[in-house]
Amino acid sequence: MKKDDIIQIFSDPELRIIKYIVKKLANMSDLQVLPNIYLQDFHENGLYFSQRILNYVSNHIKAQVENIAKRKNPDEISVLKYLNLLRFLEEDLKDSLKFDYTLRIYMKQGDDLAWFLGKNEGEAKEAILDWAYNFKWQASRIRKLVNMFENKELEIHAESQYIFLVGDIETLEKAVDKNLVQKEERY
Amino acid sequence: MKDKNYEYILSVHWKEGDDLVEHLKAQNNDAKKALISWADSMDQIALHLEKLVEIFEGKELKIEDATDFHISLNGDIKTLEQAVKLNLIYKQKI
Repeated sequence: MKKDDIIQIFSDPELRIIKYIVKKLANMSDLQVLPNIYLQDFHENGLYFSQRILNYVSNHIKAQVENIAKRKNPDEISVLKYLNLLRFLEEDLKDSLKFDYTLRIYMKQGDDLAWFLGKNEGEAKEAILDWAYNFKWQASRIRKLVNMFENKELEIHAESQYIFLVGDIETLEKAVDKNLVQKEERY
Repeated sequence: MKDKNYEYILSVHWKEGDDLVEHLKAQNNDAKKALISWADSMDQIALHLEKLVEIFEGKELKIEDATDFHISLNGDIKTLEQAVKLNLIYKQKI
C-alpha cells in the first residue's frame, strides 16, 4: 500500500456523518477500482484525503457535505466543522451555517420566578400571576410560529436548554423579524 | 407558617429543550404537533399557577426561595397543605 492512498478517518461510532460519508464513498464506482484505499481509525485534526484520492472523490464529498449542511442540524454541522469538511462548501452555504435559529421560551423556573418577583416588588401572588400570564403569552407565540410554517418544512433539534429550528429559511427569517425566533451567530 | 421539617415545592417545568423533546417523542417527532402540544402544556401551567394563587386568596403566601430550578413556598400552613392535596405543590422533607 502506498502512503498516498491512505484515507485517515475518524471512526467514532457516534459520528453518524462519518459512517454516512464512508458508506457513500464505498458505493462509488470510481473508488471500487482503486485497490489501495484504506480507511484508518485515526487522527486528531480532521478527515484527510490524499490528493490522489481527493481527485476521485471531491465532487462526491462536496455533494454529501452540502446535503448535510442544508439540513442545518447543529450537531451535524459541529461534526463537519470538527472534521474540517466545511471547506467543501460554497461560500454562500458556508455563510448560512454561521447562524442558528433558536427558540427561547423559558429558562430555569426558579430564576424566571425570581425575575417576576423582582418585577412585582416581592409580591408573591402578583409575581406568580404575572408568570402565569407569561406562559399564556409564550404559548400564543408558539402557535403563531407553527401557523407561519403551514405547508413549510420545520424540524426541531432540542436538548437540555437549547432548541434549534431547521427548515424553510424564508419562513425562519420572517419568524426572526416577528421576534418569534432568535437568529444567533454560531461561531 | 410552614412545618420546619418540610419544604413546600412548586415545580412546573424543567429545561425547555428537554421538555420539548418529551413532546417530540409523544408526537412521533412531528415538530409542529410537538410545538402545539408544548404550547398547550404552557396553558396548563398557567392554569396551575392561577389555581394556586386562587386558593391563597386572603391568606399569606410567600416565595421562600426561587433560585435555579428550585422554588419553595411559605405562608399559611393550612392552605399550603391544601395545595399539596390538590397536587399544585409537593411537600419534601428537608
